[in-house]
Amino acid sequence: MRTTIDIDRDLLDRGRAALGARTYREAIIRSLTAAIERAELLRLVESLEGSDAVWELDRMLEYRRTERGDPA
Amino acid sequence: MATLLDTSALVVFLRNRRPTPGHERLARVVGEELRAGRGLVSAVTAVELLVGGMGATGRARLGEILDRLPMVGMDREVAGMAGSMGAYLRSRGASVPQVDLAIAATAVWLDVPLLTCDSDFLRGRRVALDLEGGSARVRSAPRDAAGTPGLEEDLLSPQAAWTSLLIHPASLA
Repeated sequence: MRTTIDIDRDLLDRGRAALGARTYREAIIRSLTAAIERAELLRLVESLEGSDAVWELDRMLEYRRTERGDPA
Repeated sequence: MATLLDTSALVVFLRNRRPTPGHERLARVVGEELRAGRGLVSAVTAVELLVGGMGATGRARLGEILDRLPMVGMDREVAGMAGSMGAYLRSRGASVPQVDLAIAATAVWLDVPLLTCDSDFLRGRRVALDLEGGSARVRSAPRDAAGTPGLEEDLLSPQAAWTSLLIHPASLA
């Protein structure tokens, strides 16, 4: 899909220089990709904090020291 | 600066609705490092987290975040350093789990602080400091007969590796 967007030329120039991109298109794609990855990471961090998705610290350390244990 | 997140620190973060007393600061700092994009993990930590994942749902969620975190594997240099660090402790009557050796060597190799609440890392470091005075020297291991660089070529001595291990200040809380 092609579209036309209105972006400040100075912002494009600065973005391309900062990213070391060869073209405006490359700079825009890299910026958007990085922004999406970061947003997804933040969403995951928020959802996992305190989620109890993993066993308790004592169990983990016991497993590490004995290499035995059942996470059930 | 990046930070290597030990499995223990990530576990504290993931379970911080009921944080172990004294680990509140550690949980907060892990969150800060993750949100700032500074958190790194060892491949060994990925294994430990997934082993301890609570059911298929927990493992799937852990897999999602592990997919997005920079992960450092065990290459020849890290493996050689980890083995030497373990042998060094063993020769002094101490030992730490193999997983800790891999993670400690990864932090030293990357030259980044390790965020942890596993006292074994501190114990390894103390052995090196107490018994050897903490002198850190770079050692060049001898090449084998064919002149091939050995695993330990140009690596820090195991004692220097232990004393070079940077423990993140929040680890000590």
